Amino acid sequence: MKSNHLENGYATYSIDDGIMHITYKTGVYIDLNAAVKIVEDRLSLQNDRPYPVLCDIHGVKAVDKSARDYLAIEGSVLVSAVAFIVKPPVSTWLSEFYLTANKPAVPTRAFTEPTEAKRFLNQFKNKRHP
Amino acid sequence: MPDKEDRMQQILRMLLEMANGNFFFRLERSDREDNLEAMSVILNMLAEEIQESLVNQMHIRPRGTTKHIVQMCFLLDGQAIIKMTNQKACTILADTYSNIIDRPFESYLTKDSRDIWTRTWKRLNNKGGCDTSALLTFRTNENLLVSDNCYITSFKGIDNATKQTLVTIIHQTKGAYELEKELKKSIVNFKSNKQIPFKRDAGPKTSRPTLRSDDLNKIRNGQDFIMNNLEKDIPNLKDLALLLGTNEFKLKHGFKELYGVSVHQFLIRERLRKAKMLVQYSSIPLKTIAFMVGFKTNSYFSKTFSKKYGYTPSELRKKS
Repeated sequence: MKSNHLENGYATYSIDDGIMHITYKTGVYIDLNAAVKIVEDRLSLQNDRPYPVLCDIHGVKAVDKSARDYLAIEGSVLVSAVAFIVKPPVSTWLSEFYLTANKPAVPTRAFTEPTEAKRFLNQFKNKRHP
Repeated sequence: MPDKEDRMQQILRMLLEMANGNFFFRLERSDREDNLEAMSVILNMLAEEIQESLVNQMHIRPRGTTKHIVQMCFLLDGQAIIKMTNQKACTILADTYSNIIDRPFESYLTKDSRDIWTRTWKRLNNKGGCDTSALLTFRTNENLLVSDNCYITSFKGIDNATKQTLVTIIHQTKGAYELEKELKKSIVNFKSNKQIPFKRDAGPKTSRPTLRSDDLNKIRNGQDFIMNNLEKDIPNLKDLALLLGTNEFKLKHGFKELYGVSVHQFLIRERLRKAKMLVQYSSIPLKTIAFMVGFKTNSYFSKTFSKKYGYTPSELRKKS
C-alpha cells in the first residue's frame, strides 16, 4: 500500500481526512525546478485522485515568475481547491500577489486560521474517494 | 544587517530604477516578518511581471532584430581578479571603473553566489580552457541585486602562459523566448515558434480595432473563462464575445494582441498543457485524459499532442 506521507527538500506532504496537506519548509525559495518537483511529488502521492489542498506557505521566502506560472497552471492538475495558510505580512502579501497576477485555475483562497481553511476545503472533498 | 532606514532607501532606489525602465534589479530578502519585507516581496515579483510582459509584447509585435544585449562583461586574471570591464557594468554596479578594476570578481556577488562561483572556478581550473555557465547574483553598490546567467569562458593569454577568463552576462530582451524555450522546452513547452503570428507583418495591412482598457479586461476575462472550462465545449467566437460583453472582431484581434495566438490555438495549447501533466505524472488511461481535457476523440488528442510536443502521449507515458 502506498504511503500517505512524503517529504522532499521543499515541503512535507500528507493526505488526511480527504485533504492533501502541504507544508513548505522555512526559508524555501521556489524556482521552476523546485515547482516541477513539488507538483511531481504531490501527484505521486495522490494515486490519480483529485484532492483539495491545504498549503501552508508561511515558510516560503520567494517564488519566482516561472515557478508562479507553473504552479498556477500545471500545479492545479488534480487539485479541486487550494487554501493557503499564511502569516501576516510577508506570506499574506505573497499569496495576494499570486492570486491577483496569476489567477489560478482552481478556487484558491488564503487564510490565517487552519480551521477556516479546512472549512473552505471541505466543500471540495471528493465524496467517492474520502 | 541594514536598518529600517537603509531598507527604505533600497526600496526607493529600486522604484527609481523601475521608473528608468530597469526591471532587472531585485531587492535582497531577509527573514524579517514586517511590512518592509512584504513590500520587497511584492516589488521583486512586480519587476519580474513587468520584465516578462515587456518581452512578451516585443515578441508579439517585433520591432527589431536584436535578441540579446551584453549587459556586463568582465575579464579576469588567473586569480579571478577583475582586469577589464565594460561601461554598462560600471553603471549597473553603481561603481567607478577604477574601483572595479583589481577587485576580486566574487566581491560583487551575494554570499550564495560566491559559493557557486568558487565551485565553478575550481571546475574551470581543473579542466583548463573551457566554457561553462552559472546563474549568479550581483550586489550593486546601492545594495540592489541583479541575477542573471553568466557565460564563463576560460582561455590562455596571447603569451600562451597566463590564464584569463571572460565572464559575460547577457540580458534577454527582444525574442527572449528563444532562450527560455531552451531552458523550459521539456517542462513548459508553450513558446513554440509556430505560435508566433509573424505572418501578420508579411501580408497586406488589415484593420485592427483600438483596444481600450475595458476591452483588454474583457479579453482577459475570456482567457479566465477558457482556463476554467478547458474540458467543456467553448461557445463559438460570436457567442463567446457576447458572453464577455464585446464583439467578435475585438475578441479575435485582441486575443492575438495579448496572447500571441488565436482563441482556438490558445484553447488547444492549454488543453495540451494539462494533458501533458496527466500523461506524465498519473496512470489515468490516455483515453480518459483526452476526454478530461476536452478532446472528443483519442486519435485527435494523440495527433494534436504529437504535433505540439514531437512525441505521442503513449511515448511520454512509457518514458514516465
